[in-house]
Amino acid sequence: MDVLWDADGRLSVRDVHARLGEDRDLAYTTVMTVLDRLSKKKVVTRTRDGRAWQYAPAASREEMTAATMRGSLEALDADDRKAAMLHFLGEASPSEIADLRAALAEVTERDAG
Amino acid sequence: MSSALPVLALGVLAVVSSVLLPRLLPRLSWLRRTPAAALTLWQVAGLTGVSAALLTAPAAALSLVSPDDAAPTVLDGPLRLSLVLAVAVALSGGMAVLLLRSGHLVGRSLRSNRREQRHVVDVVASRTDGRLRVLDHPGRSAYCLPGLQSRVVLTQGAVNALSAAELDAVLAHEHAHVRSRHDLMLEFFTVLHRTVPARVRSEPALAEVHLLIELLADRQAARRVGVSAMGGALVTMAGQGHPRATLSDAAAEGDAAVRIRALPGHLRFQPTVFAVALAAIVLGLLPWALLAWALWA
Repeated sequence: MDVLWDADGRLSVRDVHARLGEDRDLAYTTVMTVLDRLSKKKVVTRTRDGRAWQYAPAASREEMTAATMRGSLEALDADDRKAAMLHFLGEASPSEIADLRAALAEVTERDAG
Repeated sequence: MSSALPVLALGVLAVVSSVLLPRLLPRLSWLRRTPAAALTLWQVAGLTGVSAALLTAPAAALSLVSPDDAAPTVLDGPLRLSLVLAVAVALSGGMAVLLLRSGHLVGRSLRSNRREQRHVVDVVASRTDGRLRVLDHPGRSAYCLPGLQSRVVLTQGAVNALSAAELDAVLAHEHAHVRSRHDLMLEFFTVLHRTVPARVRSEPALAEVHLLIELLADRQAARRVGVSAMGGALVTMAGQGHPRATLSDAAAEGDAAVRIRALPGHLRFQPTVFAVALAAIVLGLLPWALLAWALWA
């Protein structure tokens, strides 16, 4: 995935394999399988160019990260998905932070004393 | 007719544990001092509600066809017996089917959601360490995707904002969720919540169970990293969250404060645990005791 994000434009399986090969010893078929799977998950798009598929990321890493975060936050609202992931903390409003700090100070003081 | 009383009591117990207890238990804030015992009580209440509801119809059928019942009817003998039993089995069977159906639907949607999320975080993570994934995002967020192929997800914003001790606390909290499979407990309550008719459902009950699960993970984390690190982590994660359209979620707003104030108590033994355990045992045995009474009478 990093290879596709770093490249401008589309890459064939051979290109990806060549670029990965610089740091790792991977079989050509492995690269092909991974790219095929990524395209089934719609993480990359592919177009046919002659006999070979050309792959490109469906979105930039920033866009995909932002979409992931949105999805995980929407899960906080949706009863349906609340149980799918366990968030460390729900939402807190900025005005509440001062109260939380005071509560923490009180708690740690009591704990020490 | 002597066996009408235990049957009636079974019916009342079904209503009490599935309608009244979910409304009463969130008001007993002292239950939050012992999250593990409180969650046991909640689970027992759920199981008792289910078993009492399923047992009422068969118990009623058995009491109706008991030989001492001499009420004259049009139907007599074996036909009446089989008719009454068929109705009872249909009632209980229908309820069981509803329960299994909502269990299947909830479980399937949970697992497909998690799988999807896992695939995405595995792809977009800027850093990967074992089951930990760091997302290059400025907001502060931490969550886990529980299950056999669990993931703990942190944003870069959270990693930057947390001190080393606080980061340990967040990780200990998430690992507690993953290790103790808190998701299964939450799934159980979500299934029960979905099974009962919408009018009977209690949102505060589900929110309370959620809070108890967080308190339980806080407790396990506080015992490993200490109260101040855990409290610091809660304050830091609450600060400058993700910008959101709705900030009306009053229950979630109070949770952080409740969790911070509960921290010192996590390190102490709470005598109320005995009362909660006793209540759970009594409540758990009640439907079976009533069934035995109905059959014996």
